[in-house]
Amino acid sequence: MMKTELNTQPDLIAAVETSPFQADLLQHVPDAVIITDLDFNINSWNNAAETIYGWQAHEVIGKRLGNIVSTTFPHNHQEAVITHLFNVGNWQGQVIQKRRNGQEIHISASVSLVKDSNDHSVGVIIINRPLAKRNTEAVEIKTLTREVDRLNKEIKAISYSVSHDLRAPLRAISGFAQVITQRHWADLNGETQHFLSNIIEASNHLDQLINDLLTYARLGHRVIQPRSVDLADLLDHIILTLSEEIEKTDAKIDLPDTLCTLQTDPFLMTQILTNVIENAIIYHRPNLKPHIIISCQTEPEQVVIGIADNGLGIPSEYHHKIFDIFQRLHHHDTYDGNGIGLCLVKKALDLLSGHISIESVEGNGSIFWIMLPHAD
Amino acid sequence: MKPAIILLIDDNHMDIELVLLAIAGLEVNYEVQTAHSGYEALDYLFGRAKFADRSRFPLPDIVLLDLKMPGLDGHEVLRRIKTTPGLKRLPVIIFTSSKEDIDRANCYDSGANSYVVKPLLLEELQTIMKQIETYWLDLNIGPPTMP
Repeated sequence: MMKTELNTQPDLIAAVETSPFQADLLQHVPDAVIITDLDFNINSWNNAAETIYGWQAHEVIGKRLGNIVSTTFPHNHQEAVITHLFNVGNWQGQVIQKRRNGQEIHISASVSLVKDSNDHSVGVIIINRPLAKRNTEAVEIKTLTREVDRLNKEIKAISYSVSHDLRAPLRAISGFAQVITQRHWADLNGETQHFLSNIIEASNHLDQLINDLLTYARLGHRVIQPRSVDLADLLDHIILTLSEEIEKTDAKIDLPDTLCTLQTDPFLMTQILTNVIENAIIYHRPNLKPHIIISCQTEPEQVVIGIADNGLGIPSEYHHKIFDIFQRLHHHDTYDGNGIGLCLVKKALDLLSGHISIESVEGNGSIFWIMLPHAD
Repeated sequence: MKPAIILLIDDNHMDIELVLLAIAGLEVNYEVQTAHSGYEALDYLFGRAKFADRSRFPLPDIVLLDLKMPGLDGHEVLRRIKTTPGLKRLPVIIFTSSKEDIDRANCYDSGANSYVVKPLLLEELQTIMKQIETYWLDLNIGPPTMP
């Protein structure tokens, strides 16, 4: 016999337990087996139910199930579930219930009407299995989402503060060094002039670093704004902004006769192409003018933009590292750069669901392939 | 002709000093008055406290306004200027370190007339201070004298 038959309806229990064997089985299955009358007053509550919910059978018998486990139905459709149960005879689904200590548990529930020998509904049998893993995962996802939100807010606050506060002292250091240069240069000896120039140069470098880091941080919470972007116009604009570097190195940039129009975010695309082209200009071989060839191919799945240069090339052991932040392969004194550019490119491409790859041999130029899926 | 007045509002005395040094080498037809906090700025603009003497501290023709200041910040000073009948037509140029979208949006929403980011290079600062004169004092036709 089932352990708990206080205040129960003998007919209902009898309808479920047609033999002592069945009664024993129900008592010892690992799922919570709960038998209620048609108003969901509890008649029977097995061992597993005691373990899962933390209530002893004698504490819950005769009470309404809803008051004990406070069930939350999917989309809060409790009425729909009950209607389905009484029309069809059963219902399966996932619900959230509460343990005695208030802790929520995700439950896979199977609910059936119990009929007597005359096929009249006399009660309800509920078989509930805790979804322990799912529950843990859901809680983890919630916790992680909260953590991500918190970190995002923190990054926003830090970049806001960097934007305002870090620049002011830098401006003072550089500004007063420049005032000395403008007003007192002739009074300084060669060594002092050299030190002063170093202060100004380092300040410029730090300013550029702050700007790039802020751009990188801002990308993270940028809302993508795709629109029709004519690649030819975009490249013209980029080449114009790089005109100083192009003139300095006497670089040659070849564009194909026809370039496609992309459905993409123009700001991110500008960041991507500017950084890759600028690198191709900066990292040129000594005594060899940079020559950059840009190509564009439309494939069924994606658009592939190639940027090939005749520059220094990148040893294969660094191919996987160059897209990480602050990775530099060259000394500041030889080549400008702060190790953020390609990292920014990769982040921007991630946001556009695209990717980048490199073909390069040290001393023999590089080709960067930028792949962008077609917009839906 | 009396020189125009620019009111420079900035809590960072080094930034103020750099602006004054930058214009010292330029031929500009304006004077710079300074306020070192949002509170001082409002005292100046309302002619209160140590700025009560309007002959020494005349209403400015242009305001150059820093944003991040302790207590009463630039955003609040801007709102006060743009909601005060006697001051609201005063051209306000935001002069800040920040390029943040949120700052730019808030400033223009509050009625800022221009937004300039403080440069690192002294030469650029000199160019800006000259351009402010060329555009805001020479080219631009300002509002009629306020009652």
